[in-house]
Amino acid sequence: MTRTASFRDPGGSVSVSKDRVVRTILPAGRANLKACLDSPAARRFVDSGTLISTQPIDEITVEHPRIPFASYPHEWPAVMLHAAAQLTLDLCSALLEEGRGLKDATPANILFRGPGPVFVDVLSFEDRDPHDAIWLADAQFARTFLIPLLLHRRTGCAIHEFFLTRRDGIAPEDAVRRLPTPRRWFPPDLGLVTIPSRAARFESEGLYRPRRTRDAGEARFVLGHHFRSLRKKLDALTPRPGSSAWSNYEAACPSYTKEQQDAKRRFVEQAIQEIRPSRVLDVGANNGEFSLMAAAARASVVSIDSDPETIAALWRTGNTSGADILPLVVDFARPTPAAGWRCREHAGFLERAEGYFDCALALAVAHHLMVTDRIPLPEIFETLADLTTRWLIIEYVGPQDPMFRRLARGRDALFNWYSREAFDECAGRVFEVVRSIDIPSSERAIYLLRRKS
Amino acid sequence: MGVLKGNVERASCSDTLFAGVLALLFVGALPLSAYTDPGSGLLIWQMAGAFFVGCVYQLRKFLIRLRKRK
Repeated sequence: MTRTASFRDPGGSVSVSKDRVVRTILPAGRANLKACLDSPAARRFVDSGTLISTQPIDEITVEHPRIPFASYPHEWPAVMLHAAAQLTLDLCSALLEEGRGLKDATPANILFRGPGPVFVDVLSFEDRDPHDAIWLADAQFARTFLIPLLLHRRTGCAIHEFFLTRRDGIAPEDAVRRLPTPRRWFPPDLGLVTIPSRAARFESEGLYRPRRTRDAGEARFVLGHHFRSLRKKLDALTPRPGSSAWSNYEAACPSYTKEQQDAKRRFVEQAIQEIRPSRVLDVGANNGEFSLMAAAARASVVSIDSDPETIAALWRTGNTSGADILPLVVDFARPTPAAGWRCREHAGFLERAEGYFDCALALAVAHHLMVTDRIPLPEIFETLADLTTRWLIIEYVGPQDPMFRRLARGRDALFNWYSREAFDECAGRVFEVVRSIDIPSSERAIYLLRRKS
Repeated sequence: MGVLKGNVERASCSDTLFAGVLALLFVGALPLSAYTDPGSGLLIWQMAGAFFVGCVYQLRKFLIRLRKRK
């Protein structure tokens, strides 16, 4: 299936199929493409892997390599949005030196390859009018990067949720109501939100005309100062490592003794070494212990969890260690829906994931789905079978397990049908058991399953 | 969002000063083409900043020239 991934830019559009990403360049976009291809700074970014490479096919089409797994800002924790903002500013600053710039500044221009951001919109490049001292994309940069990061910093809100319903971020007029009163009168809140929200009253037609300086040096000086100022704001809004009920889950609610944990680790590690998966989905990744294990076995891993703080911590780990892990804030019980115009701009998580992975990990997660989210066990197996083409490593947690009972909160009658035999029967409908291990002195077991053809 | 006459009439002293700065900024404008929403308040604030940084640039240029003459 071919999907049109971009249609707003008058310069061109992108079609994404299973193996190819082809960009059609319209007459209005030719100068933008030339600005990118001619730019020495752009070449440096391509070499460093932070700008997508471009292969011209003919006069009106170019091809890009496909980023393995597309993700969207409504699946990123704040720290990934911050990394995307940094890359956008890095590009702007480098391009300014050669009289070029970016005509837009939105997280939609960025995808992640593992934990690393990659700028993918080559039609964003432009040759700047040397006498233009105003960066028109500044407001978009503020709405889609700085203001969401500011709100995250001040209120702790989960900013990925904003992007599901707001393509173009949060305007200052909207953000000002969400900021605590005294704080909004101090920088950077004052210049990002409070003053712009008041200044909006002076909107007039004359506003939307660029001010040309007589001296090109002045325009460059002004823009250089502006980008440094944006950098300072961005640095001040760097998300701090936070904590949540899930970020220290294993330590706070230990489900295993050391011996049991070692048995689980050994089984998963051996299974991964044996099956050598190339694309792994880790459902309910939490601290990413098993994602890291799969990445160490050279798999490309997508780790999902509903908790932004644990995903942010995993992104930091992956970014520092260079592990090929793409951590995303996705609740498996309520996966990211399709979004955008006619729900066709951004595919839902399940659509992107279906048949993409050759191995899924569902460790200590099925009982949460069953008990907390009330998802029927056969549905859980069927969904996992849709996502993996071959392997599933899953953990069985019995009804007498302390964690199961804790989650059930007295609703034992709801699960009186549930047992190891019932688990095996549900698994057996779509998978065959390769082997399993009982975790000693517990009501838990780990399975390596192969998908039935 | 739009500038309503009533709003301008109710504007405070600081608002009037702000509008004066804007009037200065709009001198010598040319039409442009861009598809990204340039915002309203954020654009005004960026223009105000650009105006003052531009003044700093001109002042520096003037001082450099002055030093060279001496």
